[in-house]
Amino acid sequence: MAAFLLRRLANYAVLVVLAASLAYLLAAAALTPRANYEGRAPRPPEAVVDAQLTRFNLNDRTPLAERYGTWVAGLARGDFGRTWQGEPVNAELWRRLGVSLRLLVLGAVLGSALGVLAGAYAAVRRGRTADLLVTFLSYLVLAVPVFVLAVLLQIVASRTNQATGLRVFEWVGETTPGASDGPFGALGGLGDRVRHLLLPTATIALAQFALYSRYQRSMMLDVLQADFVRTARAKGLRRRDALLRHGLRTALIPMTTYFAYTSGLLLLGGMFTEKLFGWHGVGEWLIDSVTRGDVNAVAAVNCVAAAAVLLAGMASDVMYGVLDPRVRTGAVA
Amino acid sequence: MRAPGRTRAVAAAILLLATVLVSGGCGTAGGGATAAAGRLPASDVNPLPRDRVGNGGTLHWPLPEFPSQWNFNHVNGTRGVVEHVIQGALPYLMRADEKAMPHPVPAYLRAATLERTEHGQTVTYELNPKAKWSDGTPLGYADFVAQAHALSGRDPRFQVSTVTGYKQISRIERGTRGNVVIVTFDGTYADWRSLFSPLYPAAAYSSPAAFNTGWLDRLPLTAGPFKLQGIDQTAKTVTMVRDPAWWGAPAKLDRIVYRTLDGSAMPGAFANDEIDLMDIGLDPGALRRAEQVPGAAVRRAGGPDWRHFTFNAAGPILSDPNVRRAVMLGIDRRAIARSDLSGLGVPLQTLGNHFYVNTQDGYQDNSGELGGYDPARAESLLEQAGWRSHGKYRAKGGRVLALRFVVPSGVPGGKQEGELTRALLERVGVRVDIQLVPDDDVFDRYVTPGRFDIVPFSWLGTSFPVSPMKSVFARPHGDRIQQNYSRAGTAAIDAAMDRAVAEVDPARAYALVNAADRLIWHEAYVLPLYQRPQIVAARADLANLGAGGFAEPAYEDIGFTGRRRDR
Repeated sequence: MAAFLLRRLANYAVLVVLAASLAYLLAAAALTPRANYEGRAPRPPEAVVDAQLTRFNLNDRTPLAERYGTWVAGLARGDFGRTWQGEPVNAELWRRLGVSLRLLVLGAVLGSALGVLAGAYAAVRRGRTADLLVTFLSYLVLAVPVFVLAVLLQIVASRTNQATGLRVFEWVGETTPGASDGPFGALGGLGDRVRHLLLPTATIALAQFALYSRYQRSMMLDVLQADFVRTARAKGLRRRDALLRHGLRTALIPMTTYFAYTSGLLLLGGMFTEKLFGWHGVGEWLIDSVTRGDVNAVAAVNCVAAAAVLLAGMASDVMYGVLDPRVRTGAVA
Repeated sequence: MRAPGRTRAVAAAILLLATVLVSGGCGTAGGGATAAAGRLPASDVNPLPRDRVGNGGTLHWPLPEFPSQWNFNHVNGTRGVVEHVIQGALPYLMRADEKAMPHPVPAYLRAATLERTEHGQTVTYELNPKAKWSDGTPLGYADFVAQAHALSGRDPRFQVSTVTGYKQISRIERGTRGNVVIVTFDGTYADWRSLFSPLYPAAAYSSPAAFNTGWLDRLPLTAGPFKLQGIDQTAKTVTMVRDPAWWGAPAKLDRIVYRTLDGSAMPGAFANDEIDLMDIGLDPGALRRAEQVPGAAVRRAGGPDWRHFTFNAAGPILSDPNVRRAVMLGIDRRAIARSDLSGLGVPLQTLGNHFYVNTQDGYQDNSGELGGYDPARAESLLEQAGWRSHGKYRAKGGRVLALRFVVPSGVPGGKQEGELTRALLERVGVRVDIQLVPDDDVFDRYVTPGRFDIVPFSWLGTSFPVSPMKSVFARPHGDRIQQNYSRAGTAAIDAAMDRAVAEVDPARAYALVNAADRLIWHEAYVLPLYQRPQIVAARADLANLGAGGFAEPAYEDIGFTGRRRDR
């Protein structure tokens, strides 16, 4: 199995380099940071603008190959360069990755776990009320775009806050500035964080729930009729055990691939949630950087996204090994 | 997107494309107040004397983006969001009132007097002797020298955003008393009141390195009612607190917390009391949400920006001034304003000036005949120009009278303007072909190269409109059109603008600007539509802040009248 993973890793490394290079070249060719200065009146002195752009390797009058060379040289030292405002991209990237993870992890885990369970349950109860209910709910959520869902939740939350007179829900940002300075100290800060998490977590979890419950339901339906489940029951296992140990486990295997790849993309897909709830994560940064023509930031986010997707691929390979005995024994042999 | 209160000159006339944010589809369905009667006030900020404003509280102020360069005169720092923060912490020697007239701020400047000399002008600044930086050094001569040198453009290592005005400074001297600074200019500079606002400490401008990087993510020295408490890079917030060392009337608020928020998050945050004011822009949807919030007030005033149509006078059809005049007469500006501003509860007023907006000192409607809607006159002008009716549209020499109306596709308001123009001009036999183009391409690929006949957009106005607007109306030199996308102009207009820029007496300057404006109206290459309203939702008990028009707020007077807010 180790050899298999190493081979995979080598493949992935090549892919990451390719993806990152393409991302940089595309961003550098398509985006024009110079436009940030051009619309102004009085227009800043030309020499100043050129000097500024050259300094951050953003000058479109430098040949693309040369800019790419500079960028690669920086990247080899682990340096993604500077934003058009002159800030180091690395620091901002780590900061924003942290924000995105804190925003997404809880919602994603909750949503996918509940989704898988609900999907499996619906499959077992196929055609009955529970199944219909889960199906209806998930289609409803799937049909509503994230930004509408978020606004609906906000409206409900605002009604709740007004009705109760308490500030149960907060929706902009991770924290209220100065929350930890209150009478409850760090504990108050934690409570504040939790209240800020409620709405975005619900938004993300609902969206994930809807998606996973659909997938899991159809996977499970395939498995329910399979021979090995019948065999398990014939051996004397109760229906519940047969379904959980043999059915669900088998049905989860194809899901791992799906989990892995969507979690890589979830990071970027969080952009709507981030914008609507005022969290300053990676997704928001990508959109803003594209509109500002901030080449180095766009390239860095794309680079990380490529790495994340491929890491997720690795994780899924490992998960396969754990869940599917055939992979393990195959590798040993 | 612009937040309330910002008006200073230098950020000036940036092209504003994404302006009319009429949410598609529900623009007119909302009903309610469509247009109020009367005229827009110059400012609407709930003005209250200091003794009626409560002490204490925290103001939560949203910023549309998070700046990292806090040196306003650096090429990356000249932005409205930066001003929102530093106006409370750095010296502004002059502050514009709601009609754009600058006045000395007594906490920093007791008086400034101008004297004409043989070769130019001399300004004597008498500073407030109590004014000092947070490190204890008094404001004065050294700061003036450093700023004038850094912004003169003589040392290219200073990455300045503009050298206007400062490059004309030839000498700075100490007065007889310590708090007097005498600045001598080469030639006259009418907008001298815009200089040294903000004023930075000498240390910040003494070397290119300090200038370019010393204010990145930092405000090392301040001299205002507020000082910096902290910048949170993760949450993207800036917290300012009352500065006990401030020598003026103490700030009413304990704290101002600036939070960076995307426009889409603002209505929700405002409804949930997480921000205390919000710029509505021209979005009736956001306005309706804000109006439903208990304890909120919507403040409306005339803003500095104005909407207009630019005509391409180098195009095959509009190169004839009479055709341009006919097209202007065939466009009902009130109908377009009514459509753009529907659902916002603002009075309808068209704009009759290319330099000043309706609420500005010096404003005068110079549109004359061209400002009205007169299809009959438009038709007779077209007849005279040789465009005769052939069926539905006019034609001349086998060419149909058809105009390209270029609209950025991401701006729904622009499309509505195009469709209205098409319907209106069809009545006089002019065909309008609306060309939807990607937002980013509008200027690069259509307007700057001249591939259009009519394009709608907004100019950002300023308290000192003549020098920035010169680049819009001055005759182009070959390919160097600056921002004169019409590619029109006359020697008389250039001369009139030069005279206006050189005039230092306000009353005479107004007359000269209006003379230039009349010439521009006569050439008919830019059709002003209306002054954009400034619509700001705020807590009803927030005093001395809101839709300020041109006025720049005195930060120490901002406060709440209601219960104390500690949140």
